[in-house]
Amino acid sequence: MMETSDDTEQGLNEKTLADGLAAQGYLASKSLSFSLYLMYRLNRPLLLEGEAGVGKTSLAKCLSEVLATKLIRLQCHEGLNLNQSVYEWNYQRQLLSIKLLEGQSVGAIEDAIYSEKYLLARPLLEAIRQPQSPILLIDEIDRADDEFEAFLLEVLGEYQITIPELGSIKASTKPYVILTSNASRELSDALRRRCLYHYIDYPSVEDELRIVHLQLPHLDKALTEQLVRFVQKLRRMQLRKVPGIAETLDWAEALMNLGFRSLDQDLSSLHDSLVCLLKYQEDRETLDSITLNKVVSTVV
Amino acid sequence: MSDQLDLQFDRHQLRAMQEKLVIFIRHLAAYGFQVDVNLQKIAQTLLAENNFNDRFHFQNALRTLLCKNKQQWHNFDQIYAEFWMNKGKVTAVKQRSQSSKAAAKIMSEDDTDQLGKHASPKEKQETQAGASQAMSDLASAKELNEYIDFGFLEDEGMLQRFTESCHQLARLLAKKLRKQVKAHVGEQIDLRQSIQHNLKHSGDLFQLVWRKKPKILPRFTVLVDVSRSMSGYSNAFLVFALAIMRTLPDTHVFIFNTRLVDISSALREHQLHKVKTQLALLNTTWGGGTRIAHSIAELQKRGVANSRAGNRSIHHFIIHSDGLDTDPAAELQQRVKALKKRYRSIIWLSPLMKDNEYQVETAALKGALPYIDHLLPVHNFRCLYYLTELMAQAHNPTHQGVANVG
Repeated sequence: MMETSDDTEQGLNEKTLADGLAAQGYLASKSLSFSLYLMYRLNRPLLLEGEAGVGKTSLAKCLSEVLATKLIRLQCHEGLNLNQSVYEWNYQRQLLSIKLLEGQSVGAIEDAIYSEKYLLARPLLEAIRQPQSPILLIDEIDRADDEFEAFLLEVLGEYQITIPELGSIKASTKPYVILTSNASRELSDALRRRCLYHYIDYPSVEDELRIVHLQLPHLDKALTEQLVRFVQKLRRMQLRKVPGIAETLDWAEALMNLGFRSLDQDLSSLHDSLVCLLKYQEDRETLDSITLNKVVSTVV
Repeated sequence: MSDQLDLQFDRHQLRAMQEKLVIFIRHLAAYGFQVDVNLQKIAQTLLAENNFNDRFHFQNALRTLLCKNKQQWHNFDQIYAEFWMNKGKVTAVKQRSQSSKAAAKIMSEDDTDQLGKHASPKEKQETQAGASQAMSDLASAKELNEYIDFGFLEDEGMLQRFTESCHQLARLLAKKLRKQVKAHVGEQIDLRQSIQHNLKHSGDLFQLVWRKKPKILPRFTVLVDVSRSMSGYSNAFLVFALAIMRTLPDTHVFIFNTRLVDISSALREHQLHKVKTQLALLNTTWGGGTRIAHSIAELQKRGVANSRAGNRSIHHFIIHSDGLDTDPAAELQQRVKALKKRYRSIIWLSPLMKDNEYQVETAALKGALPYIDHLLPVHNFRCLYYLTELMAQAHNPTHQGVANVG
């Protein structure tokens, strides 16, 4: 599907993408690799939604490795503005230059201080100035304000940024844009409309086993199965924050370092190790020693 | 994209898919999907530019493109399955059944117009009269949606329903043939049985016993083109052929592309693995074109046509092909002309005819047209129904002069 001659030359399709990601330690489902391929071919932004810790951000990182291109990341937060996301003038340097250029005409000074030399490119500007299409990761877009989202619409629509003093800068090569969201805020329909969409769910037992094997190949196989089943059971419990894949990997590594061979080996230590999985006190209280014992007995 | 996707949609399949995609996008709106013109355009472009013979890719592409939130993402597969596989069609059928008989008639007329483009006015009239009632007898066909293009019979459940519908169609054919035999006049008295039966009446023949007439069933020789261009349709037709063979055991089925293979015995013995093997063997020669004239010649050489030369009045020839022959054009004309002498009728089934604007353009088929009695579409179950009607009518003893037989 959709293979242009360029793609064929590169041998890029959803399968090679999945293989490439696997080589980078990221196991992408068939459906996810297809969405990525669609993003690549259509050059439309891809909005990734899913619970925290399911691998949205790491996907962008691995993809940049697969495509051998630069990863430019814009971490969104409340109050994010143009200066932090697009560009900023280097005021200190400009002031210094004004001092040095004293005596020259105002026009000459302006020309000098409003030049590329004094421009600090932030992620969005940097992304559209790349000679080769980079991966632009706009992380946790749901944390940014509505105003920034509106501005982003313009950038994603035109891939062009206007700097009043310099004029418009249009992307020579369109970046591959990946937006991630934890759905803490409802994104506007306008933004969603401009994006392809993929929802990353928690992996199945089999997929999670493969992920842990891939990331921690030295971990005991029986223990891996036990801990994966344990985490899967936790995800079905009423917890404030259920553990994601990242937490599973942290916990697996912790158990490996603690010398565990089986989950029922030392329940006290196991309970202590849950700091890797449960990030809220109320969740830890939910999983008290008795409950832990019960859950462990079902997976061992 | 991948090896399994080396089959390209032909123009007609693509057109049908494009039309269905438009309806699907409208259908999505009922579930809260907001699909603007731009997205529709992208979806259509994707479909047109790419080979979506793999259902997974098509479904994924649409999901990634058209879903805009988690809820839509989770609901999409269900909606897609309902629309493209089962329920959407069931709904459509229900809507039709709720509508008045007049609406059904209109649909029937529309379809018959398409079916009977090359059929006689009488055939059209007969088809219209019986179509609604007979179709309503086919429960599976209702569930299947008789208008679904065979190119979309990819789901296992759908295939199963299609197979059931074909068997029902075969039973319907058997019923019609039985009726014809019973209704036949000029039966002879079985004197021996009559005397035995009337012994209680001291041998007076109060109750006559009529000699059962042997059923003279029509015979069909079927050639199925399994070349690449027919890939979306030949499998469905083979399912139909298998079902028909139960009713008409003297049917001979051959598959061909550049070579001719007799699969009658395999079908008769339900050895589907054999058929699959033979199909696979034939498929290894894909890329070599379709040699229709050569295959007919081969058939004649094997003597299948000649062996029943004396039964021309009940022997019919069906060829299922798009008519894209790689043999010289004149050769097909010559072969079909020869066939015409040996068979009562020649029925040519072409899936290309689903396009209302279809005109026979290939020189080979154009040349053979004068010798073809019926040129019919064969892209959905409705077409098969019409073909069954034709097969039943093909054996009308009052017209065929078989009254004295037996």
